[in-house]
Amino acid sequence: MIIEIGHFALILALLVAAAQTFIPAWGAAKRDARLMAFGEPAALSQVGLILIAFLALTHAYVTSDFSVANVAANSHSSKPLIYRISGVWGNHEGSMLLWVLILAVFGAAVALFGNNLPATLRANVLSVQSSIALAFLLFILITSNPFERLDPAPLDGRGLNPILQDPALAFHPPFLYMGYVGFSLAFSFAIAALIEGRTDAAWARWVRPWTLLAWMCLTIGIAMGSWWAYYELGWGGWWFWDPVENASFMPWLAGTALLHSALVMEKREALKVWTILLAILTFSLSLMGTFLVRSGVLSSVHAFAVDPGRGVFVLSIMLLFTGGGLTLFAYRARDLSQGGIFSPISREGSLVLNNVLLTTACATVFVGTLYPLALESLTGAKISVGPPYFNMTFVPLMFPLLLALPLGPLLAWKRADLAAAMERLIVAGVLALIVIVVSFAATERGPWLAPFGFAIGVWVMAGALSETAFRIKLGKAPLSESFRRLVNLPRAAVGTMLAHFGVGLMVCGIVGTSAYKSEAILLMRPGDRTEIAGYELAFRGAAPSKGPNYTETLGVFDVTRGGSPVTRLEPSKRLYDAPPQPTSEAGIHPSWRGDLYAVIGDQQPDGAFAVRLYFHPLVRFIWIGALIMFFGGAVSLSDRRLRVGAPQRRSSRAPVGVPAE
Amino acid sequence: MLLWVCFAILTASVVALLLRPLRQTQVAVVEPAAADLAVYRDQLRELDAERDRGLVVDSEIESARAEVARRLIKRASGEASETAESADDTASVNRARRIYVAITALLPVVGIGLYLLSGSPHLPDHPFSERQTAAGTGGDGASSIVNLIAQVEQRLRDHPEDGRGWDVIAPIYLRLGRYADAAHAFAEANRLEGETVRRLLGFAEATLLAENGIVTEPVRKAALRVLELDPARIEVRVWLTLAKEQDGDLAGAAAEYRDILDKAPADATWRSAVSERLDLVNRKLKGEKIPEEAPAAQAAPSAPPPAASGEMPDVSAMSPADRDAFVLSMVNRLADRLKDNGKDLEGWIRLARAYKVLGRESDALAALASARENFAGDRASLDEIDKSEQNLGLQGKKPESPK
Amino acid sequence: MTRKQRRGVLIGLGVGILSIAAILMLFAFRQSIVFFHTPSDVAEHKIAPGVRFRLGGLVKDGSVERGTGTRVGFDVTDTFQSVPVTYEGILPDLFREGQGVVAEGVLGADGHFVADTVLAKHDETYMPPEVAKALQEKGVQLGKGATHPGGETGTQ
Repeated sequence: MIIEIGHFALILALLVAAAQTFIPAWGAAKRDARLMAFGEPAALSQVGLILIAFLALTHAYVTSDFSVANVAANSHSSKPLIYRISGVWGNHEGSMLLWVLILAVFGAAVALFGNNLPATLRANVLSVQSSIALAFLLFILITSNPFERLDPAPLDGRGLNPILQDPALAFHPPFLYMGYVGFSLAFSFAIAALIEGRTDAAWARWVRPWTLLAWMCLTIGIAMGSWWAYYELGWGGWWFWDPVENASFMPWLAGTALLHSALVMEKREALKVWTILLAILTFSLSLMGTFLVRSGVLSSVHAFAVDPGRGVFVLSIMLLFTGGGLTLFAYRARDLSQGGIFSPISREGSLVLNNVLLTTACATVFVGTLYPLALESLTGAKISVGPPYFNMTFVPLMFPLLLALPLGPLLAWKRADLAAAMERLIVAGVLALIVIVVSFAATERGPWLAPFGFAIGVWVMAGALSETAFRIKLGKAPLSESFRRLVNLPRAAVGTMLAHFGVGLMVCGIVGTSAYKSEAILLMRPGDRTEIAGYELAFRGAAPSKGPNYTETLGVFDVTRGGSPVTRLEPSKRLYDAPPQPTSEAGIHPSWRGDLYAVIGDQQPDGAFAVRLYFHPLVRFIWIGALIMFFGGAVSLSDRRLRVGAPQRRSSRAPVGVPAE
Repeated sequence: MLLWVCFAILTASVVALLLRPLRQTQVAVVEPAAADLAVYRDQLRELDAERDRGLVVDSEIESARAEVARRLIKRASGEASETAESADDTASVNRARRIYVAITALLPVVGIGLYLLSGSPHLPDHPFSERQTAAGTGGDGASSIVNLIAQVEQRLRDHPEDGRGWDVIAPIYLRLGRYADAAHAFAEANRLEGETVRRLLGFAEATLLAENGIVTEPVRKAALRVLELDPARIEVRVWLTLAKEQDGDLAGAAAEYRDILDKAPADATWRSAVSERLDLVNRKLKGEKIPEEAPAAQAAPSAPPPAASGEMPDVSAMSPADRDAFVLSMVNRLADRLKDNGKDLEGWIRLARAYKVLGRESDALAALASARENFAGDRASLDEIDKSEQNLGLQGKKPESPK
Repeated sequence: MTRKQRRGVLIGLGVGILSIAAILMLFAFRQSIVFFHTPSDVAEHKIAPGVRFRLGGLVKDGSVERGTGTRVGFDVTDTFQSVPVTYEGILPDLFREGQGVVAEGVLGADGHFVADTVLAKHDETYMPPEVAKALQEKGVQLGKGATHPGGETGTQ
């Protein structure tokens, strides 16, 4: 019965979304306060209804109700509880339900916290947001209804793909979706602004917190996915330029650009048209990410179902919103007034450079990801574009961006003194030079570019710190004065510093692990020893063992370094019960220096085991960097500046609601 | 019923929530200008705070202040012209009320309509734990099988080296249509308990069904192994021939089929399937186009010769004629075995019971007579035979053609 | 600077960076595009030895041979033609006889495909789309109700 209530709630949500799409916008057009006011209760009931549907599906998963087709196809009674829950979004139908749930939550957040917004803007935003929900609810109910039932119910489910049974992956999709879907609000605000034909600094100020929140979630979501791929897929790589990874990376690049251009718009009322366009494009890229993953046109771990019907549906949704948004933009953009002026050497100028580089980088990823699809549909030739392409296009674009990054925050608005800004970065520059010399001296191997890569990472980190040091007059004023200034520093400034520092840290991690990775593939018999990156490994043998829903061959390696024991690595090869499918679990020993990473393969006919060993130097810095970026965003979001005081409300004195009877 | 009550409550609460703006006598509205002005005032306050903290150079602050102030003034002067039309005239109120009422009336009607199109209101929830308890307290047959399977599966998870467990569960999987599981279980049983003709046949059949009737390499190997163990099992050659046919060697396959038909016992129930197959191959050889739906193309590979099946083919899915043929072949096999080895009391009694069920009373009596011969002098066994004769209602009847 | 000049600088910057990116992309495409071929393509087209490409198909039953060390040899087939492949390294977890596979590498002069990357399908119901598509184009039906091509066409 619960599952049927969920189904009914989802249908009601569809109807409410349909009403919410038209009524508040109509009210805004007619300037009818009562019709505009419909948006708020509608958004709230929409989120409540979708939540009921989602909880009903979760309940079916938790109780293993195999009379629900979706549960039977994707769950199994022997699965641990946490994976029964994460199994809800580990499949196509459930993940789409989560997608609209998050969409509705963002809509309801505007309804609840948008008291400071002009009534017409808010009504239009709620309508646009609801139109997206309407499209996706239709998609779910027509092509991928998670509430379809089976009668009679099968004896047991088919199980969840074992490589998806993992804690990091359990929470990777929710964050990723919060990122994707969060940009829907930027889109809704942009469309609402175009409908009203008016954008100004205030608009940017309202959009920024939502964009920042979406950006944070997307950052952490992508980092989790990369971390999962690193330890679960057993290849030891952390980024593969896989099309689906790119699909989540493109909105991130565009969203990062949007975050910075909205800043210019808020402070200086410049770049208005560009910011609106970027808001539309960012969400379009998010929709494209959804399309690429859902339609199964890409070969990837993440592609769920290969169902052309669904692909066509999502493609139409994507074309409708992207095309509609861009058409409206083309039609209304010239009505938007000109913004403030600035010299090329200025904070605005640096942010323009940031935007140009980020969007160009996004475009190279876009071409590399979609070119194979376009070529195949045009000529039928099947090609794949591998990491070398991205290394040759994306990476060179990042160099100028990272070099200029520390300068930006030091430049004044409108017109800046470049020389003065450079002067403040002398310490950072010297540090970077030292890093070049030291890393050339300390490493005998690796590409000659690597020391420069480290230097750039250090330059970015030290630059971020220098900017804060300059602001608090560190060394120029007494320490107590500096400390007082540090405490008083606006949180947004601290957030910027943290996020930029995180970028630098991540660059160091990426350079370290890409340039100095050691790898060995060999056959080992119990008792064999080997050596990698200064560690000695002794293979003790492999024995069968069993877990809650799998059996495994567990290899044991004793690791020593310079004679003293370090750790014991236990990589395993698992065979899950349902569906019966093998996976490799890597044995990882993390440290600041880097990760020692072991994977055990098949047993050879002669009794030896194929073993893969890696040493990934500094690899942790990649995810720690992403985490710092996330916290930087959170600190910034907690700044009072992003919460605007509620303006005075005017009440309409209408004598309504008194029935005639 | 409860379901519809829940639906009603859900719909009613949504409608109540949606109608809220209509109940309010006053609707608060934020004017665009007011909202903008609030933002600009905030910006000015921030700039002042930054200047007070001495974080920014004064000249920079001043130009920023001037700019925000300009925006503020520009916006404030435009305020009057932008005020929203007042919403308090009765016409617009009535319009709003009509729209609200229409929506809240449509919501339940359309909602229920759509639900009836796609929902399954008659189906209760079916949680796994409930089923297990139902099985535990002597529930329906299907549930107890589920329970049994779950128990064995649990045991096998704990003791994956338990060959007997695999041996028990393999034919059950096969019968339930879980072919991949069955193939795996038969393979484990073969590995742990040693290869027998029965297990190899089961493995081959399960794999064949799991692969949609394509004779894969493991099936071929299993069939060859069966022939090694028991060259008399001529029926497994059908699979080998099928493989040949699927590899495109039609002429070779036809010759093989003919040879099998020559050597097969005249009463083998799978003869007709083989000759049908041969017929099809011959037609193909002649260049006739066989439609894909031709029953033989699908049926023959996926339903291997019944006699070659393991001990647990899906009898219930067979047509009555096939079922009889299958039972008959089982009985014949048992009779043959007892002829070779008569020291199997259980077997004789089973044979007698089977003949009785088939309505061949004389054969049943003959079986019991043979049993008596074989166990002459064994008091206990003879008693057992007498007892089953009684149970089968054959007492006092004489075999028509005693041996 | 006038407003126009400033805009000129910005537009110049944008166009400059975009054209650099375009040149990089063209250059990168020429070096890193890898084509996908089936064993039949290899037999028909006579792909030149030394050109990198992806070879996709099914691992032929009974063809996997473990060599010395971690060297493995197997045949990739689209059921019409097959190509012998050698690979040094650990095969993916899901590599099995009769399953879909994509190998990336170069064709040796002796017709042996030397792979440096082998990708297997990622779950029970998943086959690399290009493999599935290529096989379907060749008339090999996959999945439920699949029939062996030999059983249908039968004349070769």
